[in-house]
Amino acid sequence: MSQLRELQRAVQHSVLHKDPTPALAVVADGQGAPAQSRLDVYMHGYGARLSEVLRNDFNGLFAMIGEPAFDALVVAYVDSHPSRDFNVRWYGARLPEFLRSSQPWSDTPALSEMAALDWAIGLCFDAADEPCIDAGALQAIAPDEWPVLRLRLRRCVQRLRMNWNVGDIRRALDGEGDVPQPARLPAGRGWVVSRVGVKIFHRELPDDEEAALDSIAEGRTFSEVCGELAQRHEADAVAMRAVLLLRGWVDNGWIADLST
Amino acid sequence: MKNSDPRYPPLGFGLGLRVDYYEALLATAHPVDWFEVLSENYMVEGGRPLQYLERFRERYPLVMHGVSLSIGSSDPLDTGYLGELKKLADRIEPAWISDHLCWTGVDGTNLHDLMPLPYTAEALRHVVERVRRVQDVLGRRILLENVSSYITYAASALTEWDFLSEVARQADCLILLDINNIYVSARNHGFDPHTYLAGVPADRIQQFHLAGHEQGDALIVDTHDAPIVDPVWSLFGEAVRRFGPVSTMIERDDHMPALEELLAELDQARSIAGACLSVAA
Repeated sequence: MSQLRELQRAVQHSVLHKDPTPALAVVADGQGAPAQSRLDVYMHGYGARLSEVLRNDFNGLFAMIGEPAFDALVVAYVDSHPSRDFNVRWYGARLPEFLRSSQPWSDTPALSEMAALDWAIGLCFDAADEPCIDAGALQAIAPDEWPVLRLRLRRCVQRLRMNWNVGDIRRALDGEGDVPQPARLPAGRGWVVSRVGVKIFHRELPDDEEAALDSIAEGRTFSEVCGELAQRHEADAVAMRAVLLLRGWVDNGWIADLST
Repeated sequence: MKNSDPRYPPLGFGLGLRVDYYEALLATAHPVDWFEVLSENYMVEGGRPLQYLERFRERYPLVMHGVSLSIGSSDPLDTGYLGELKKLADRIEPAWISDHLCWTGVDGTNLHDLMPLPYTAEALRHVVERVRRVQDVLGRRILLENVSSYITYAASALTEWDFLSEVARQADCLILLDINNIYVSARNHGFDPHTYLAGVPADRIQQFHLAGHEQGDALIVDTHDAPIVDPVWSLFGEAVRRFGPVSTMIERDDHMPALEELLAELDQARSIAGACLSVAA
C-alpha cells in the first residue's frame, strides 16, 4: 500500500470514528496547539457538517421532534452511515429506513413517515423540468385511442403511503393550526407531493385517485385505470370520475406525456 | 496546452452565488462583475436550483467551483463526478472551473471536508497525473485552490507553496489563491504568509478568494461566516501588488449578512486593488 493511501486511511479512520490514535501516527506536532486539538477540528467538523445537511433536508422531522432528539438521531445515523456519495445532497436518502428499523425511533413509526415526506419534498424540489401536457392534448385524442391510452407522470410527482397522521402534523407545523400528537390512522392514506414552477404542494389522495395513479405508474392503459375505478364507483359514475381525475392531473401539470 | 500566458481573461470582482441573495440580486442591477457557483449545488435534474442558475447565466459571467474532485485521494478518480462536472460545464459554459488541492475521502467514503495532503514526492506525482487526466476530460485547464488546514504531516518534505507551485507547473494548471486560507494556515502552522505569496508563480494565478474566519482558542478556523479581517485585507493588497489585476471574489457561507454588507466588502476589495495597482504603476 502506498504511503499516501496509508496516511489517508489513518486520518479518515480517526475522523469517522472520533479516535485520534491512527492519525496521530502520521500528523506532525505543531507549534501553538497539540496534534490532538488540531485533529479535533476535522473530527468535530465531519458530524457538524452532516448534521446541518440533515437538518435542512428533514425540516419537518426536526420541527416534529425538536433539536435535542434530532441531534441524538443524527449522531446515531452519522455513526452508522458513512457518506458514500460525492454530493452531500443524497446523504439523507437512508434516513427514513433507518428510523423505520432502528430503536428507539422505530417505536414511533410516524417519525419514519415524516422523514419520508421530507425526502419526497426534496426529490420533488430538484426533479427534472419536464414539459407537461395541457387540456388541448386531451381534446386531440381520438375516441378509439382512449382505451389504449397510457399516461406518464412527471418525475416531480412523488407519492407516499401513510399509516400515521403525518400529513396533519406537517400541515400544522407549516402553520395551519395546533400540532397533533402522532396517531395511527384507521386506514392507510395516500399522499402526493408535486411542484408547480418552483413551488411545492402536497396533499392527501382519495383512495380511488391513489389506485388510479398506481395503475398509471405501472404503465396500464386508461381502460385498465377505469377498471380500477369501477371497483370503487357505480358503473355509470366511472367515466365521469375518470375524466375529473384526468382533468385535475393535467391542470396540476402532473402528466408528462400520453402514448398509445 | 502550452502558450505564453496560460490564464483565462480576468473577470473583475465577484461574489459567491448563494440562495439567500437570489431574489435581491435579480431584482436590480448590482456592481458585481461575475459569480462563482458551487458546482455540486447544481448537479441536480432540474427545479429551482437550475432555473435560478439559468437566470444568472443570462446576466453575468459564471465560474464553477467544486468541492468533490478529491484530486489528491488515493482512490481512483470518480468518473461519475467528472461526468456530472462536464455536463454542468457544457450547460452553463463557465469562464473556468476550480476545485481544491486536497483529498475528501478514501475507500469510497466521503468526509465532505477539504483534507490537506502530505507534501511528498509521491503525492506530487499522484496529483499531477490526475490533474492532467481531469483537464483532458474537461478539455480545459482547471484551477486548484490552497485549502485552510489545521494539521500537517510528518512525511511532508515540501512547503505547501512549493507543492502547489510544482503541481501547477508540472500539470499545466492554474491556481486559485485563497488569501484568507493562506492567512489561516500561516497562523495555524507558524509560517510567514508573505513567504507563501513570494513562493507561487505569478503567471499561474487566475483567481483570488477572500473570506472571514473564526478565531478559536489556539487555532483559526476557516468558517466563511464573518467579515474579512484587516490582516487578510493587507495580505490581499500585497497579492495584488505582486500578481496584478487578478479576478477576485468574496465567499460567505454562514451568518449571511444583508447583501449590502457583502457589496461593501466587494467595494473595499476594489478600492484596495485600485490603490495597490496605481502605486505599482
